[in-house]
Amino acid sequence: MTEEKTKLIDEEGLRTDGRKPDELRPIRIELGYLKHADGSALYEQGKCKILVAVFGPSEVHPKHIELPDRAILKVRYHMAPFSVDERKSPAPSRREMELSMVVRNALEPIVMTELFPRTVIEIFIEILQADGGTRVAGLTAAALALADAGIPLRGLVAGCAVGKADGTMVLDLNDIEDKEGDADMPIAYIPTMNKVSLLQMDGLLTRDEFRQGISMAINGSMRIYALQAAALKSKYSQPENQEKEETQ
Amino acid sequence: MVPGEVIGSGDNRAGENTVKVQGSIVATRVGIRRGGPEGVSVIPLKGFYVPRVGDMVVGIVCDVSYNMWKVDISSPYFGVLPATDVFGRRFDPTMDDPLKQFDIGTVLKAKIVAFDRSQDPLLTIRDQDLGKADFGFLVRVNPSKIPRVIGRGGSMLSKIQQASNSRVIVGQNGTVIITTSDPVMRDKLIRALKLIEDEAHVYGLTEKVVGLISGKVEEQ
Repeated sequence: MTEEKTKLIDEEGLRTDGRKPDELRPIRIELGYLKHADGSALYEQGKCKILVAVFGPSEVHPKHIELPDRAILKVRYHMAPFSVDERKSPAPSRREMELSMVVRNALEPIVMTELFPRTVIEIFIEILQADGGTRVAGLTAAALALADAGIPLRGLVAGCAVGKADGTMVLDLNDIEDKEGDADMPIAYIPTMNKVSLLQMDGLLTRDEFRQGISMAINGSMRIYALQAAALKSKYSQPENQEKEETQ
Repeated sequence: MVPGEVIGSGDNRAGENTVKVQGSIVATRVGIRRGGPEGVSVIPLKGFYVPRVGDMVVGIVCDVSYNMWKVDISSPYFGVLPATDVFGRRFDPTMDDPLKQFDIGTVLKAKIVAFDRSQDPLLTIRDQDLGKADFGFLVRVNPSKIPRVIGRGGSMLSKIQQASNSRVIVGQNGTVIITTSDPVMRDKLIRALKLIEDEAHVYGLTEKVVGLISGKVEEQ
């Protein structure tokens, strides 16, 4: 018995959710969502819903893992049991442990850990609802939560996935494109440094498709970066006379 | 300004909360840009307290060991108050009992005498107006708003104290002790501190705060 393949691109060139190939899903950002965290962000990208909490810098426990020259970055990427179709065990899976490391590696270039030696910065990424591209969405949300916590950053990191569906290069894959498409390539980009901090690929792409994918993903990341900056500015926006602040 | 936003060219000097990235100066925290002869810097709008030598801080004793107290000063690093500083002489375990002096939970007013990357902030209570805070009400204010609570040359703080006829001790780490026997005034002072925190950049804030404390202006 052969399973019929879902059509990912229709006759008009639109995707399953009606988007054009280079269109992002609608994004909503809410900063300072959690009261008890030092910094937090609620990030929605299409049907993806992600909550990130940041704590620190604070004292390291156990003491022997502290570093004398910089802060430790601890990242926990976790999917809630109700985040996917079939209940996911709440215990950390092999995939989650790998993604925690991948996200940590992607955040390390922006966090100025050298300013706070012997401390730890903890980042908790909780996937409340998953619909493809959660690692890059989690990373984008983590950068926002870090900025919200007042932790010095060299820049913000924004990411989105790019892939191939029915032979067409598409931006910001959803779950069905991720699973049934030909390739999936999550990319995170730091606009200030003009550097890519995360690049993974699953599937097959030709050299030209790869180049096209990179430029599409960077373009998408720049659009997400603009939304990140706007969200931070609107949360901390001040009246006109802000420059006249009295200081001690 | 948001982290990564370019605030000046590489010719300027990178001040506080900025960093040079690929030839230009970028902000590292969310805040307001400030340009001056000392270079460009960013005044953060949210942050945590990073100890600085000479700062007066208000902390809570969180651990007592045989020759020092560990003090929570609401910063990434705990303050260390050595027993020799408190007893004023060499510590003698047969005579001195650190627990009797300051137990866990004691509120201390202390000054930071030494701090660097390799050691925790060293505290002292051997100065005027330092030591145990016996009574009062503790209020947490965002440390980045503390300069506004104090005001230029201490103007805001002295006006608050005058208007409320009570003592307000401000720790640079964002912990404030309100000392008043009148519960109504205490609530007014808490509201005034929250007002400063929320509207730190509003013009004419001092008048608003004084009005709130003296009861002439009702809180909105």
